[in-house]
Amino acid sequence: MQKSIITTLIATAIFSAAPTFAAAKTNMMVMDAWVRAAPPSAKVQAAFFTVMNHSNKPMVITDVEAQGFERSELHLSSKRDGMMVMEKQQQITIPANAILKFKPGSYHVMFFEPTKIAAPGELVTVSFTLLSGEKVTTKMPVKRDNNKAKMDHSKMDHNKIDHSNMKHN
Amino acid sequence: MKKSKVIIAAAIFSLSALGAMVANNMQQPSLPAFTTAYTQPEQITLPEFALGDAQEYTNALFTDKWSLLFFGYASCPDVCPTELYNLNNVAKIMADAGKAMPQVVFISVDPQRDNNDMLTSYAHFYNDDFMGMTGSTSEIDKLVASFGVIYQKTFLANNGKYISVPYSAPIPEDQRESYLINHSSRLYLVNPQGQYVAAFAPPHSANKIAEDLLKL
Repeated sequence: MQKSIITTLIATAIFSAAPTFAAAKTNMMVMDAWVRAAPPSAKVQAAFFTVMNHSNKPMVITDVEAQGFERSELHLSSKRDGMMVMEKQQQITIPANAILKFKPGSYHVMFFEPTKIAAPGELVTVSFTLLSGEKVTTKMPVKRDNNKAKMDHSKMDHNKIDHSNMKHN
Repeated sequence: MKKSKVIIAAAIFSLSALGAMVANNMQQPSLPAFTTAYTQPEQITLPEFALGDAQEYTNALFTDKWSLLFFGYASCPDVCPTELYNLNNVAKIMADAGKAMPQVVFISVDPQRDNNDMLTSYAHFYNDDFMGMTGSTSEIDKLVASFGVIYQKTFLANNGKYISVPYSAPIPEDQRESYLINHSSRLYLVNPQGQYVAAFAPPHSANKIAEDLLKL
């Protein structure tokens, strides 16, 4: 009994550490990764994460693949001519010893043609190909959002809010 | 004789001036001073439109309640989900404050790939009260023109460059499923008289949007 608990604990430790340290052998470290949950009727999903380049040379991501999706691309959303424009990036360079954040409204990985849209709680295996030929694989959890804390209400002035119309039942 | 003509003319003039003032007041119910939303210099009455499979969504959709409109498409992985997720946070703030959340209407400008059933479930994934809809491009474009929305189809050509064309323009066969759409990402506020009155420009913060909506 005790043994099985320990085994489970070890397995859990390895499993939970896996996404963060999947790239430990290389100088590329992927952190804080998440795939945005999408409605089952959606046709695409996006992944966001932070890439750290622990080397003294620029690191270039040239390709990306995701299990369960026919096609994946490196994308950049930006604002241009009054529109939000999203474009595929042939490659993305992370400068030496730098961090690049892939985040909503900016760099992200876009997954197309899903076998089935990945649901919250699932893990999506994502592999990056670097210009050096190296491959970095990481597992990204599917989440509805990446908020660590509950919503930040601290900036709201609650005194100004009229609570008189609130229904208390 | 001459004098009476002058009096009649003056009377007609003052009556029409009064009429114009009344009409003006009716068209422009007072709006609060917004902190972040851009108030339209003139409130824009929306043209008659009909969206939905049975043309069930008409101007009546916007009567007697405030509405927030967002134009996008369901194959949009980044901007549209961020917006709907953000609007759900706005809804939470409004609920906490005991105030009514305007109805949220997500209009897909991509009827070639999206349909109304799918857009309803798409919107409900973010909030059960949100609405998702589309219609014919000619109907969508009536609203697009009123709100000053811009959108275009964009696809990656063989030379690795993006080509942007009007939505209804022909594109290569192999791009018919995979094109992207560049689109305005403003959030539009429509008053209970069905008039476009203000817009929130991106980047959108739930707290800032809620701050202005709480003033309504």
